[in-house]
Amino acid sequence: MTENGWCGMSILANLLKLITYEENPDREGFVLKETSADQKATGKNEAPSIGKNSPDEQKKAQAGRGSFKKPVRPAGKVTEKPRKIKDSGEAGAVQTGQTAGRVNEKPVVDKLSVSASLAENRDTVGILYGLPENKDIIMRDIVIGTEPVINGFVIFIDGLVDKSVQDLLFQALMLFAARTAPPEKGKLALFVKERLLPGNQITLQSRFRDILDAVNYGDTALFLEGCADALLVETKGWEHRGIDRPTIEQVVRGPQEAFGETLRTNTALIRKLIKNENLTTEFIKVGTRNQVNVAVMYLRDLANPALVAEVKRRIDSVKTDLIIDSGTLEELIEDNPYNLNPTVMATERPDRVAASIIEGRVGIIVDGSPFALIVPTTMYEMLHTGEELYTRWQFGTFIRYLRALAFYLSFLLPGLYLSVVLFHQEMIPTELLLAIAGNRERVPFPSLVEVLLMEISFELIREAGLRIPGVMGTTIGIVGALILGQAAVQANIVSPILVILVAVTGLSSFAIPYYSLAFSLRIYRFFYIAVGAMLGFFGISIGLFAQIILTANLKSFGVPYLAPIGPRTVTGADVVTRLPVFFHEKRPDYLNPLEIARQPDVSRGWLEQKDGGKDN
Amino acid sequence: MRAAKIFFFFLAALTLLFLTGCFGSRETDETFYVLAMGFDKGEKDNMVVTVSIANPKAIAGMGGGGGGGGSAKGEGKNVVVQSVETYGPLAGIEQLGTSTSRHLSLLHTKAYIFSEDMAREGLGSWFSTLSRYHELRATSYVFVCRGKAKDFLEKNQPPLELSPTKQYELIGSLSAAHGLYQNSMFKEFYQDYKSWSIEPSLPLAAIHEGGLETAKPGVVKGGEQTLGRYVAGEVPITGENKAQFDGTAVFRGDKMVGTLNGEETRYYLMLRGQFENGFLIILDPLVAEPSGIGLSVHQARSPKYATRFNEDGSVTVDVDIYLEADLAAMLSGINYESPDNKPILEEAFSENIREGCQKLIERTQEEFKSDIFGFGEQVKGHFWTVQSWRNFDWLQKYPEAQVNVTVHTRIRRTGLQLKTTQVKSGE
Repeated sequence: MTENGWCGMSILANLLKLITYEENPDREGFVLKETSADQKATGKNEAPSIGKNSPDEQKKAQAGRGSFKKPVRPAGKVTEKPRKIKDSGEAGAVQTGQTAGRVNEKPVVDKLSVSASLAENRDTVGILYGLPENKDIIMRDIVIGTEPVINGFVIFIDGLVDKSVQDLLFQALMLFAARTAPPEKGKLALFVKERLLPGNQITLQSRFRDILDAVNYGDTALFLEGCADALLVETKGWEHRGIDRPTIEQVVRGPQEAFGETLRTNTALIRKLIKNENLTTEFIKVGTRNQVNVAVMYLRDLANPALVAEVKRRIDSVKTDLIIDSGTLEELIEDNPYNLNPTVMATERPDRVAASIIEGRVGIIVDGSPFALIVPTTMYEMLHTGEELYTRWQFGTFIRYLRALAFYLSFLLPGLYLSVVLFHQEMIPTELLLAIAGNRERVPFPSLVEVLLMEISFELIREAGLRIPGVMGTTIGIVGALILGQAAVQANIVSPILVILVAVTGLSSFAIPYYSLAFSLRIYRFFYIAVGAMLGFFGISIGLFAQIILTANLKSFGVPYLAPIGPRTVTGADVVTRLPVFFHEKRPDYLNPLEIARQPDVSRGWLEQKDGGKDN
Repeated sequence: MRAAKIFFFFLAALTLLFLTGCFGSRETDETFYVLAMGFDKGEKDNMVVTVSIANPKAIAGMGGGGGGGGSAKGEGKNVVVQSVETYGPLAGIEQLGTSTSRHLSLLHTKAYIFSEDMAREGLGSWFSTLSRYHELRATSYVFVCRGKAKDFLEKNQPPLELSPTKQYELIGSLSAAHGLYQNSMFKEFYQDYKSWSIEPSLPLAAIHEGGLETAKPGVVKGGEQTLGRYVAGEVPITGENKAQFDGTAVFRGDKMVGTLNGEETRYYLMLRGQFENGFLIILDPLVAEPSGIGLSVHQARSPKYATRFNEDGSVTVDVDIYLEADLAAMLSGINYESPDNKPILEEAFSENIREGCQKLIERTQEEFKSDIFGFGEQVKGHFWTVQSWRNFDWLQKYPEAQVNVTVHTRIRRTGLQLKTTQVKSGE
C-alpha cells in the first residue's frame, strides 16, 4: 500500500512538474530580478540575501505599498541623478574625498554650492551629470581672452541649445574679450555678465540645483576660475514643431493657429492675443523626475485671487515623478476624478484660452503639451467652440441648438431605439414599426445583441482609424463604415435601420466639440443601452435621473459644473442661445471675477439711440 | 474594503435591474401586429372576430436589404386576414393565437369595424372590454360596416396603399376634405355613449362590389341636386378600390338606430362645427330649368348656440351657422361675381343649407330620438349641479325641443375667374 501510495505521489509530482512553469536558465541570460523594495512590499522574507545592499536601497524599501517598481541597477553603473551625500553643509565647500571617489558617493544636489575652484566645480558637475558616460552633456573648457586670461568651462546639453546663439557667445568670450580683467576674482562673474557676454538673459547662480535645472532646460552654464558663481546664459533652442493649424478643434471662421509643444511659444501665443501688462504667467515645477514647467496664466486685476491661489496650491502640491502631457496634470488636479464627466477644459486653441482668461479664468499650460487647460469650466462651455462668437449670432445660436440635439442623441439614441422596439412599440408610426419589424425578420439576434454588435464595431472602427499607421491612410474610415455596414446588412446580421441609427449616433458624438466630453458620452451610451433594454423608458428615466444628480454634484475648481443652470444663477448672454455681442455686458457670474462688467450698456457708440439700439 | 463595498452596491443595483427588468419587453419578431379588427354576429357563439395582420416582410420590401436571403423573397400579401368565432374580442385574440406563431398585438390596430347587425344590438359591452385592455389605442378609428365586417376586411385590399393602416389614417383626415363622413375615434364613441348630453355616431363603411348601376337620378333627371345622397356601399364607383366610406350611423345609447347619407352627414358636421371643407351643389336661383351651381364651402367660424327654457318647460335651441363659399362651378352662365347677383346666391345657398339642417334635426327628433349634435352640452349650462342636469334627462326631452337654424353665408372668392360671360355663338 505504501508502495502504491509512493508511486502515486511520484506520478502526481511529475504531473505537477509537467504543468508547472519553470524557468529555463539556459536560454534566459538576463533576468530582471525584483528589487528589495518589491520583495518587502510583496511580503517575501528574503532579508539575508539583500543584506549586502546599500543602506540607500533599504531605506527605499520602507516605501511599501504604492511605491514604483524599479529594475535593479546594474552594479557599478553611475546613476544620472545623485541622491545622497554625506552632508558637507556649507556653501562653496565640496569635500575632496567625494570628488575622488565619485562613483560610490552621491552628493545631494540641493545643498551643493559652486566652489571657487574650477577643478572642484568640474568634478562636481562630472558627478552630477555622470560624465563621461553621459554623452549628450557637453563640457567644454574655454579661455577667456581678457588680460590676463581667465580659465573657465561651459556645460550645456547638445540638442537643447541654439548653436548660433552659442557661437556668438563663444566668439564674444574668446575672441573679442580683449579687456583687462578686474583685479578682484569675486566680481569676475559680474564683470563677464556686464561687459563680455552679449546673451539676452544672463543670471548668476551659486546653487547647483538652480544651475542644473537651467542646463537641463537648455541654458548654458559658464564656470570661471576663482569665482563662486556660475553664469547661466539663455541659449534654449531645441528642435520643435512649428505652429500648426488646429487639428482637433477646427473652425471655419476664427484664428487658425494651435498650440505647439514649446511652453514659451505657447505663452507667447496667448500674450499675443492679450496685450496687457496684467497678464501674469507664473511657473511651477511639477514632476520630481522630469521637472516640467507648468505655466499658470491669469489676469492679475481680473481673476479672483482665491481661484488663482487654489490653482497654484493644487499644482504645487502635486507629487509625482512624471508629467508629460496636460492630461496627466488634469487628472491630478481635477475635483472629481471618479466621475465620467471631465471638469477641466483642455484646448489647443490659443484664442479660447485668451477668451477664457479675459473672462476671469485661469489657463494652465504644461511644457511639452499642445493642450492648455482652462479652469474653472462648466459643461455648457464644453459644448462651445468659440467659433459661435466669430460668426454672426444667429448662426452661432443655430449651431448651439444643433449641438444640444447632438449632445442628447449621442448617448440616448441607441437606448431609446431599444426601449421603443422592445417596450413601447405603440409610440412610433405604424409604417416605421413595420419597416423595422420587416427588416428585423431575417436578423437572428435579439435587438440588444444587434445594437451591441453594431456599437462595438463602430467603436472598433473609431479606435482602429485613429491607430492605423499613417501610410495606410484614411481608408479605414470608408472601409469600416461603408463596407462593413453594408456587408453586415446583406449578411442579415444587423438591420439596415440600425446602421443608420448607429451612424447618426456616431455623427452626433463627433459633433460634440470637446473630445473628453464626447468620450464620456460614448461610455454613458452603453449604460443607456443596458437600462433601455432592461426597463425601457422607465430605465432611461432612472438613468437620466441618476446621471443628472451625479453631474449636478460636480464642481470644477469650486464652480458648480452645471452653472448657470444647475444652481440657477445669472444666466448671461452666452450659455445656449448666443445673443448678439452687444448684449454681453457681464462676465459669467459664477466665476466671481474682480470686475463683472465687460462692456458698458451701450457698446455700439455710433448709435444715436440712447439704449444702444437694443429695443429694435 | 472600499472596493468591496462598491462592488457590492454595483451587484445589488444589477440584481435590482435584472429582477425587475426585461419581462415586459417583446421583440418585433415575436409579435404580429393587428392592423384592423372586425366584429360580426356569430351564428353559434357571440361573435366572429376578424383580424387583419400586417406582414412586415412584405411591407418593408426586403428587396434592398435582404438580398442575401434569396429564396423566399418576402413578397406576397401585405396583410393576412383571419377570423374566429368566439365569445368576445379578447377571447378571440387568444383563440387566434392558437393558429399564429406569435403574440397578436393590438398596439397598432388603427380601425375597429363593427357590422351593422352588431351595432344595432349594442356595442357598449364590447367597447368597455376593449377599452380596459392595455394594448388598446384609444385614438384608433371605429367604423360601422354595412354587411359583414369579415367581408370588409377580406376584400379591403387598397391596391395603392402599402399598409392598410395608412388607409384608415388617411380616411380619417380625408373627412376634412369633403365631410361625407365623420372622423370618429374610439375614445370619442366611448365617451359619447356614456354621456348625458350627447348620443354617439360613427362613420359608415362598406364594400361595394357592383358597378355604376347603383347610381341615383341626378338633378336634370328629376332627382336631388346633391352629391351626397348615397351611403357607403351604394356609391356608384367601379374599380379596384372596393371599400367605401360614406354616411353616418346614428346611435341611441350604444345601439344603432339609423343611418344618415353623405349629404346629411355634412349638415350634421356643420351643426356640430366640424365641417371643414366640401363641394356643395345648389339649384341656380335665377334660372327656371334645374341647373346646378357648385360651391366650395367651409365653415368660417364655429356655430353659435343660444339655448333657453320656455315657460312651458320646453327648450329652444338657436343655432347660427357661419359658412364661407367659393364659387366653383356654374353651368348657367349668369355673372354671380357681380355685387348685384352675389347676395342672391348667398341668400339661396343659406336657405338651402337651413332647410337641410332643419330636415336633419327633424329626422333625429322624430325618427331616431337621438341628440347626436350634442345640443345637450349647451343646455347643460343652465343647470347648477350635475344631479339636477341628470334629473332633467335631456336625452329624453330632446325630441320635444325646438331647434332653429340660421345660416349666414358669404361668398368670398370667385376662383380664378373674375367675371362670367355668356357663351358667344355666331348664330
